[in-house]
Amino acid sequence: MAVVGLGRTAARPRLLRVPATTVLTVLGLAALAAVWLLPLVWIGVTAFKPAPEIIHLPIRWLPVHPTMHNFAVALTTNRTASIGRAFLNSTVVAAAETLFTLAVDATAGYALARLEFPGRRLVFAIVVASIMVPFQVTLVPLYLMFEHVGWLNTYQALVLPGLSRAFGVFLMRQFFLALPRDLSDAARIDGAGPLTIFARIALPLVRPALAALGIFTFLRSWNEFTWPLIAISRNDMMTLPVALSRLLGSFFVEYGIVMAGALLAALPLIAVFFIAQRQIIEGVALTGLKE
Amino acid sequence: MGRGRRRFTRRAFMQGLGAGAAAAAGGFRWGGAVRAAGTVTLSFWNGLTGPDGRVMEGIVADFMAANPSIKIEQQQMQWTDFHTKMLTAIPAGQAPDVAIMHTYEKPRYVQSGALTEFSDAELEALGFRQKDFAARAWDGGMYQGKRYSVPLDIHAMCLYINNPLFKSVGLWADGKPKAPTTQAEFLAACQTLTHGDHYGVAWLQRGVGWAFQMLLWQNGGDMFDAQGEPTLDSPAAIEAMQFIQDLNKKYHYTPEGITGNPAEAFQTSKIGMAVHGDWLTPAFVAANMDFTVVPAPTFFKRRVVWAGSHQFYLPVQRRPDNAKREAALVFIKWVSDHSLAWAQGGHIPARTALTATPGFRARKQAALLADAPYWHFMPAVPKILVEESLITAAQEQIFLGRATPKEALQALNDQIKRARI
Amino acid sequence: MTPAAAVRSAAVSPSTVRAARAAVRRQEALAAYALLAPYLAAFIGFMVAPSAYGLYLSFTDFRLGAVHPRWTGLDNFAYVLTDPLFRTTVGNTVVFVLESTPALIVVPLALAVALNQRLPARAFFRGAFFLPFTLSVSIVSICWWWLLDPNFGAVYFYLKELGLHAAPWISSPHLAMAAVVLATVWWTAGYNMVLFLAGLQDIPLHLYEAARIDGAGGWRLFRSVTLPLLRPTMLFVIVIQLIASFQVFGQVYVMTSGGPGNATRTVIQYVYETAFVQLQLSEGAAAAWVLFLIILVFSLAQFKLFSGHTEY
Repeated sequence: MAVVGLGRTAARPRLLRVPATTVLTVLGLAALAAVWLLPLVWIGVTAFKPAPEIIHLPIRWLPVHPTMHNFAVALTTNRTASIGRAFLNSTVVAAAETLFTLAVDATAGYALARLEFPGRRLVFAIVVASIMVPFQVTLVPLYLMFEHVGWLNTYQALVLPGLSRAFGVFLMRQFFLALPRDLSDAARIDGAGPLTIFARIALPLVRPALAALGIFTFLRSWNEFTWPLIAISRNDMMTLPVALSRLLGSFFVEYGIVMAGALLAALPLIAVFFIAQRQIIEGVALTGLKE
Repeated sequence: MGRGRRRFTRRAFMQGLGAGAAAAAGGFRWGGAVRAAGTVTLSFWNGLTGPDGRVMEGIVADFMAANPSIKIEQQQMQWTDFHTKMLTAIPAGQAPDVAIMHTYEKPRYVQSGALTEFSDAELEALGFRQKDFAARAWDGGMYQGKRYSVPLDIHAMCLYINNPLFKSVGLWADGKPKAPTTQAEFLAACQTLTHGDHYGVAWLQRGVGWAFQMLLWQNGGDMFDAQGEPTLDSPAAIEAMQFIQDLNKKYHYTPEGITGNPAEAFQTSKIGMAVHGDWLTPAFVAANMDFTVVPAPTFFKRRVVWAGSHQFYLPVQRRPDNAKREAALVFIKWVSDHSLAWAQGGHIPARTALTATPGFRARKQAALLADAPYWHFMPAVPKILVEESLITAAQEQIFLGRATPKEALQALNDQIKRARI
Repeated sequence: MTPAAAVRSAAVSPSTVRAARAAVRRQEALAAYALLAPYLAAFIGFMVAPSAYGLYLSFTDFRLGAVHPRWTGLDNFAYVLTDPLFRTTVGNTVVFVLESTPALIVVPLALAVALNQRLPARAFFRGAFFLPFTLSVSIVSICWWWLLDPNFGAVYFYLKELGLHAAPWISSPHLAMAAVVLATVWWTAGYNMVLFLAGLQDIPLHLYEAARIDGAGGWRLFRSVTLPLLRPTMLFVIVIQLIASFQVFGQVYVMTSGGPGNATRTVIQYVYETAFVQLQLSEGAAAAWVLFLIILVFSLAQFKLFSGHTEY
């Protein structure tokens, strides 16, 4: 509408106020978004194509004989992990890692931000420095440790290592630091202990930060590839990224089945993002990310 | 003493684990194996990720329908992943109950103490006798005088021919393609087929390593010496590799660069011929291609054909379970008995009685049986798995013109020598 | 106040207050340790201990199932550092970092600035650019690998339809890494965009208004208000991105397996293959530590570069 209005003159003053740059921005974004989404559309249409139509030149976007066969195979195959089972595993692992991460990072972040204790600066320095330790440094030893206690192919093998990440502690500390001091001072005068102040006053105030950290953690865990690839050798324990990579053959890729699996795996996340995107961005905004 | 020391150092680190590791030992898994009374669940791993993997999926389903008391949990992964998983899972006590591999991995696995032997009694129970199997496949199950595997099939390198392209350039007579059998004929066919956007041949990525091995053998060379160290920088090897490169850089009979995925390239009908293993057959059938399978040509002085054999293995278990082992034997016997169905995967059953049936003779790969005297398996040395994981990159260096065949093979050879196996 | 009360309070206050303060401090310290304990247990158990164990392993000849590893000094480091393949993978990793990090700053920042304005369909656009991040790395890789295939990919096909010479992306060593970068940017740009959007929302609107009154517009507004105030977010995103880029693995593992001709083989793949494919675990651990030292140098340089300018 704005585009139409723009060309007119004084007759429609209100529409005139839509600046040309806005129109150009929207048009540019629309073009870019179309290109951006094309690979996703490609995944979507491929999932509905029968095998002979998939590798085909000239390229045809729409399936001539649409089929649900690929979805059936992706869900029921006995070749490798079933997509349904992998979905369950990914959900359990990502949810557990998110919950535990929130718990340990919020408590540690609070202690480092608002409580005085000997060794505080040292602990914080070590924890922050560990952000720079790349995961592969712990890859081989973690494998051997989990092998030793017989925890390969278990959920805890997938969940626990992530809890050691400093990212969330850092984030939570920043946010607790930003809370006004007077609130806790008032509570202390009323005789509340440090734990009570944390649980009753500070924690409710950082809900948006918890939401943001939760989303970050969930997505990272959901997309984690390297560690599950190494720690899991059984079909029934595979997470989605590994299970989907197992659908790829050495000599021949059955694109239809792979794409059907991909679509099934992505749909719930896509739905969640569209419903919750405002909260996600605002949650992140509120954490401040500032020093 | 030494053992105790290692335990101690490792345990010292384990204590850092915290989290009450010991208390929760065993680990937590969702669900787990819910078994009906009397049901045995077998984990079955293999690297059959080509179109043959789908055929195995069907066979496993049929087996479970026919044997309700045995449940098979199959796991297919690409061969490189497969060996990575096997060689780490077995010492971790997470070994599958039964696996399919080839013949040449035995030294590496035996070195790791990962394989169990088939006893004479077990062979008896299977009803497997030497005379019923193709000799090379049967012998391939032995290593250092011990039987570690029993054969399922033989798979061989072949020449795939795109019928419409052969017809269009007149390489067609008596209702079949004029298939080249020598280097000269091969080059002539390539020349005829190459025009515009069409090419004579494609070396299919991930398969080109095996094609090179075949050319090396045909040229009188070999990959390893008697000590199991690589000899991939020999003149015979360089000459074989040079031929592969010449097809691209000198004659331009192959497309520039590297074909991303092999089967698809042939399937798009731009390429007249492909040298690859017989296991791609079902993919081309599924894509409704019009093609012919013929024996691979003799590119050099000797007639040698690259071949391999899929074999059943019983890996070492931390807690051996007789019921499972017996069930595994039932499964192996059943699949072997039904290996005519397995031939849908493009392979040749190891049981000689089955290759004589009309059911098998009707298959495209039946044309390859004539090659039986020339079949040559990959050498069984520990470092063969290192070669397998490095050869593709070396060949790509050559194709891309980043290294001459001599330089790339020299580097590959050094790399394999470096490996501490 | 009665004199007696005044005397009483004056008499008790110094020591009592000190004692009370000490009690509060003790209570606070105890609470702090209790709150820190769960995280520190995870931190020590899954970060400190494995790192130390890895360092120990890298000085031994440890093998799976081997009975007693021997101390071999710097032998594994010598093995890694003299391995031409390791040097290639370090080079490739640095190339990937240098190509992907700027792209993953500039593209998301541009998107975030555009989408921070009041625009029609803003929510849709934000969602559209974020959407790829919901896909698994395997799918992103296989999809792009296919689209860019020189023989049957859509990109190749359409370029040719347009009469353009189609570059054999994936089969050329230089373009192959570019293809991996492209897929990575497509996949993760939306994530960084969200981080930048969050940073932008922290910039008070009145600053923009003030600048506008001063006659600033468009680009100058961006340079004089947005960019300086976004610096903390920028530092954060750059460091996180740098570390993520150094650990690139899934994309190349699925997309190119490190090819063509090792052109996209990265350090983490080297670690993975050395440790878990060739089962040279101690050499793999040593390679990981070498990478750590490289990242450390990069990150410290980054911090130094940025902390000099930070105004917060």
